[in-house]
Amino acid sequence: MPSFFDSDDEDASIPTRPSGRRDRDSLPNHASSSRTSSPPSSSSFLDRLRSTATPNRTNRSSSTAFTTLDGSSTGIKRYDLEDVDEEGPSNVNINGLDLGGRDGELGEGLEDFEAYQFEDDNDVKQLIRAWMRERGTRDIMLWEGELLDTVLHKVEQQGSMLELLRSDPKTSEEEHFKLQLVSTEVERVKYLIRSYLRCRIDKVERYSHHITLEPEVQSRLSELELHHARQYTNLLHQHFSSSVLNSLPEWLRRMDDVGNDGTSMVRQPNKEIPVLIHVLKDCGEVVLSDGERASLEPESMHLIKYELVERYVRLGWVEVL
Amino acid sequence: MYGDDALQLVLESRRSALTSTLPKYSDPLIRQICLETRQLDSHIQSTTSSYTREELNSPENLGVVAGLTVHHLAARRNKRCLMAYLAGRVDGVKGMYWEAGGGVAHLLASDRGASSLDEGSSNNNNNGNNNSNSNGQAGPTTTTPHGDNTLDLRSRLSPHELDFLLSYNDLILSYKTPFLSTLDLSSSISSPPGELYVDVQVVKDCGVVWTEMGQVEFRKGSRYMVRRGDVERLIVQGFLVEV
Repeated sequence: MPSFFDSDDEDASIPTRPSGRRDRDSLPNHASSSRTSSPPSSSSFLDRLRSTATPNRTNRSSSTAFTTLDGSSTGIKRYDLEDVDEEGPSNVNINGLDLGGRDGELGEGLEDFEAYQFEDDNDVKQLIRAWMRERGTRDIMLWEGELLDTVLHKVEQQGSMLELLRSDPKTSEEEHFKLQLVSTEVERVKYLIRSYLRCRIDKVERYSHHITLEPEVQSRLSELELHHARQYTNLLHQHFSSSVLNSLPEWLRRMDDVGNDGTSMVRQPNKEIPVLIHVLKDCGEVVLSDGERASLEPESMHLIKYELVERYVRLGWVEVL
Repeated sequence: MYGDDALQLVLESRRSALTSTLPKYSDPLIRQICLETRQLDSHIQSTTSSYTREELNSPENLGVVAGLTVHHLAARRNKRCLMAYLAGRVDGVKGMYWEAGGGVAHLLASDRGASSLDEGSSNNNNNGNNNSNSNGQAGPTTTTPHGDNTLDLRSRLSPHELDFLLSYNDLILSYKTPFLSTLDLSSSISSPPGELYVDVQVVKDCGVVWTEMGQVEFRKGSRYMVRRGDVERLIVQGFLVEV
């Protein structure tokens, strides 16, 4: 079983990051941290997850594990170290190679049975998918609160772990180098989270008035976002009123007029915008606006109006690119 | 003609959107349009009050009805143009806010990094609350005096827009506070981080900064290799330049 500090060749895999699309692809592999770290034989994934749930305990045990790593570390201690150091390069390397099967099983247990099952799955990959979906569509997607909490918690853990190991005088030169790799990964995961949140906040602000009127949309937001939407709507209306509306005749002061061409002042997501999708699971046929039929077969790609595939996007049967 | 001023306003907005600049708030023009709209309104009011409903429905008063319609549409169009202008500016202000990494004080104190950093409340909030993070956020501990630019943002905004910006900052702060223990939402998202460390050149003195390696004094002209997270803010604000 590979542990955090014992493999050499992963150094070569340290990404010189390419840009653009390729970059997005490379992110998952290197940033993948948590769930796929190899579990010691029999313990289930959930057990391990729980075992990392209390930061105090983890810190303590991991430091013990670290100092005794080369010597007579017991199975338990080693096991703890790996839990916390999920981002170890060696673990990253084995991701998606020989652990695919096991992770598939885990996925089934954890995900909604209707949603598409991914072969190899972990928090960061899920986050990347949520992020892509969010960025690819105009509409606001379901808030991935649980996932985000997990990832944030792990990032925090990693942070304190790194600090601990870095300040440990016993940490060798080479290990310091590896620590840097780990912290690069942490930074990249943080970037993901930030981008995801910012993308959502942008949408929330864009459609804030619409959100305050539609309970259905509200159900897709986090409480924080909902609060923000309400506050922002107020702020915007206040700003418009004090700038201009108050000096207009009374019948022109409303914020929800509908123009002569049918354009409403309340901005809504335009679901007719086409999205580029990659089909993962057979979605049958969709009827296009001109009456034509298109079949969404697995592994095919389409440029199609969002409203036609909205359902499948939410289920995760198609990926938005 | 009715609506000419409004058209001019929209054109101005369009121009600023295309060049992504934020020109001075055209207060006189807006007042003009508001005045015109009020005049239109009083026309409408006086016309409607001098005719009864039956009179307006009769065929010989068709001209009056047509006039009313034109006035009405012009007033509504004026409003729409005003709203469009304001909304466009709000987007512009928000864009600048995010670009500056959420540092309102910095944004208002200088134009496009032409001046210095202000130890305003927003910066304190951004940098201060970060204690469980190994990255140890950098907060400049000293400030340098700054000269006000005549074209600074503050003078280009209307007082209401300034209020808006400040309240917006409060909103964003309260949104991002729960995340601050792990990450600062306002940092740049233009590209995924590739390297942990950056080679920076100091172009403006910014005093002593806490970094991962302890205190570093950034003197103008010198070069350092530092953690990106530690100095991100200083790069955004124009104190350091990546080499």
